[in-house]
Amino acid sequence: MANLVVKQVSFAYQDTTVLENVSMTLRPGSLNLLVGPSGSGKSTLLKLIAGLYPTFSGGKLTGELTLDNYAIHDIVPYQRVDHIGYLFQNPTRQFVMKTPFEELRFSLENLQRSPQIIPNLITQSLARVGMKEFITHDLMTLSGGEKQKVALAAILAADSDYLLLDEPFANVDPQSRLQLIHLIKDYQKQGKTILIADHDWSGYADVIDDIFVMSDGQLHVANAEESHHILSQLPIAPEIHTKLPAAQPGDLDLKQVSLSNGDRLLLNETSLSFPTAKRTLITGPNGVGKSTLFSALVKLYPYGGKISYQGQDIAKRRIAQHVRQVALIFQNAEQQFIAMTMAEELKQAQATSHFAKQWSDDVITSTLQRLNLTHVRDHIVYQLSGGQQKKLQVLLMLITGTPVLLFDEPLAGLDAESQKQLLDLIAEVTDKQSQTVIMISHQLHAVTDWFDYHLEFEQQHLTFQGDAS
Amino acid sequence: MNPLMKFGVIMLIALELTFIKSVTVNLVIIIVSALIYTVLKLRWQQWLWLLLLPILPGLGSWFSLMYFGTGDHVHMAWIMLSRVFAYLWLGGLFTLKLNDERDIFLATLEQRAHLSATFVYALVGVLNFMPAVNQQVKTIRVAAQMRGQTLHIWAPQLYFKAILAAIRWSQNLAEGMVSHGFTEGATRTHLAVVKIKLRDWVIAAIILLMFQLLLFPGWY
Amino acid sequence: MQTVSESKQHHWALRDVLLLAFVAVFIGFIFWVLGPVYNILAAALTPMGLAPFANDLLIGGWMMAAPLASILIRQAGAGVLGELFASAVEMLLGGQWGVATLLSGLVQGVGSEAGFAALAYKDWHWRGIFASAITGTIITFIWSLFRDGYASYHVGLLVALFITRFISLFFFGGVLVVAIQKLIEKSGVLHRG
Repeated sequence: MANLVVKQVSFAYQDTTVLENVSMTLRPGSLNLLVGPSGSGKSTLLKLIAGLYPTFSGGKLTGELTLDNYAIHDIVPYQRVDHIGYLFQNPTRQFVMKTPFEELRFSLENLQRSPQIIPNLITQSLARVGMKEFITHDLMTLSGGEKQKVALAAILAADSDYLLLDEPFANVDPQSRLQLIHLIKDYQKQGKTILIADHDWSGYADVIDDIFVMSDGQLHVANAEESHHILSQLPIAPEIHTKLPAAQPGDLDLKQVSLSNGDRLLLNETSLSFPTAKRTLITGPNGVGKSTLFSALVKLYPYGGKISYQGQDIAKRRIAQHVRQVALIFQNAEQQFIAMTMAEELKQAQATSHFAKQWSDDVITSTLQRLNLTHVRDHIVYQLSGGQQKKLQVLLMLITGTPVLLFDEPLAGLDAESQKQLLDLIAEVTDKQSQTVIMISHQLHAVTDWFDYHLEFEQQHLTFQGDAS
Repeated sequence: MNPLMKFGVIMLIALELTFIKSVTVNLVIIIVSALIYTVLKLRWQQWLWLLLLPILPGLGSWFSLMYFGTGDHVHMAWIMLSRVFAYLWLGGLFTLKLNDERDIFLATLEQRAHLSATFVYALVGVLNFMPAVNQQVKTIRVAAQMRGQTLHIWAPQLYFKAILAAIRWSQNLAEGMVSHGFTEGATRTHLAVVKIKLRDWVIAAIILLMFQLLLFPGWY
Repeated sequence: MQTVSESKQHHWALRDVLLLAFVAVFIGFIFWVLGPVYNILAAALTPMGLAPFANDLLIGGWMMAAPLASILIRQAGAGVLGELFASAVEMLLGGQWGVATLLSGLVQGVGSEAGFAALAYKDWHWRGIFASAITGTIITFIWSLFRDGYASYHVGLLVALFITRFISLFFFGGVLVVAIQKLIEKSGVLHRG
């Protein structure tokens, strides 16, 4: 096994220090966990070790980051991958080829494997991850879990000594997650060294050797006591307190609606009404189709059955008119911006607001203060931090005042204080403007008593949860 | 025939057609293509596509040359009408088969034409992203409509958002490719080695030669 | 182990080629949406014999990939490649000109890039952009003299078509590209280095 050294590594990007004096020793054949709040530098560290940064990020790297005494980012990729495999959080935008077979072939050809052994390596690796039947399927139509298995198969085929995983289960359904964990443990048993950045270690807590804790760009190894403390903090889903809605029709109504991705059925002929001017939570396993449902509600994804808004079939509504009534707060905040600076964005939102009178300059100034955004008011929106972008995005859509707002994971990646700020603001504004809030969220600790209703999306159906009202 | 060879022959003939003013030659191309299509057994939708698509640009040129042409403009009008059909029918021989022949076409580009793997796999990757790009363009417009703004085709913001997505996606894909061992300028092995048969060269030469003979005597 | 810094440096970086290809595909799709508009316009103009105006009015849009690729990548050959990628997309989407699309793409790319080349590939801002709009108009127009049979038109119509084409390129390939470049630079999303 090649010798990996991470010693006093610092990394700065555009004058901001991301990592400071990070040292890390991975014992050969161990399985290690990397924890820390989002934005603390976990991804950056993993990508540096994988040699992707600073080549693809720019920025200044100092300290010793070497593999057998060669600077990692300087080793040609086809040799580096023999030693270090990397699994992205979301493989969707990382596959080059159309099918699992082609993707693995592409990889093995890059690694200069002999053509004689390539076909066997491909079928064996795909068989190991249970994806052999999908060998010629279109990668784009696979579920998040299936994609991740294919990505893992590529690493198994390359037989890398080190395996780095960056929140690998974020888009993976629970069943696939367990299968993937099993595969990773097996890989470790072959003497491989593994490093996983994750925030939910249920299912593999028992095999973790070392825990590395990242905070504000600094890293330390957790001692026995700290490890025990961290591992005991499993994110158990808290109970959500909601009631069943009374059976009266709301503005947004589904009749026998079906959704599918490729030949995979996501939602099967479901009928329901979203209660108007109330807050409804949608939960469900990763990859079940929650975001796809939102896309369908704003006419960005085809569906079967009938979706109507205020009795009007949305298929017959012009999209420009429809999304002024039913708008989506995208997971990716950048998607929502249309101007350059925060001040310009706010001005634009005021100008197109359904509640222009309520959003005076003074109100906006005080709201920015509440969200700790005042100091970046004149900044370029594309240069804000992820958290600032998210807060601004939500504020813009609240100002716009669309009657129905669909929030897709608005709390992901925010610290507890920001989550609370945002939830308070959403509640206050949407109450005043009588808006319907429908939210997909995994951050349930923050919202146990925040919602009126709760829909569970599971096994191709949406069902209201809670006590009878 | 190797698809890249076929492509080369088709492009050469198409280039020549641009400068040849002859209805007969255009018709010969159309008829020969039609004969090949009958052997290839097209679906009726594909026949319809071949028949309908050139009508608008063909007639467009025909009418304007009839009205506003000078010199031998009536002849030219017919040339243009037949030329548009010839282009599409000729090109269809390549494009209609491309779905089946894509892999070998790209492999030939890489292995025989020695086009840098960077270009070949950038092309492959991006082609596989085409549905996602289409969806993203829609999303950009709808996202702006949610903010009460319509991004028209002349709005810089529309292109800026598209380029922003292009920047982010090219970054992701580059990282993905490199994480799968892709190395610029490095040797790669090839699971399927593409060879161009001598027969292909001979056929290509005969086709091109026959086409030149068609032009040479000026008997039409 | 072999290192990147010891290997031969490549003129075309993977990320640049991918960016160029993605930009071309995005532009291809944006103007694909315009396909029906073009068809209606062309159909309406056809009986009057004015259909070529539909083409010349929109050509600037179809050619935008070239100047955008040039200003983003800032390298000789970027314009030609960008436009070639874009025309390949158009062909694959089923453009009306079949393989001739690729030939036109090549000509359009060369035409657009000639402007930047004329300024010795030193100006990637408005001077270069407008120069590319001018050379783009001239070179593609010469091509149309042959391919589209423009050589047989009355001089009056030719002048009108030339002016139309120049206006289209001046707007889409000039004014609009300059505006887009301003947005990109202001946003700071493209860090070269």
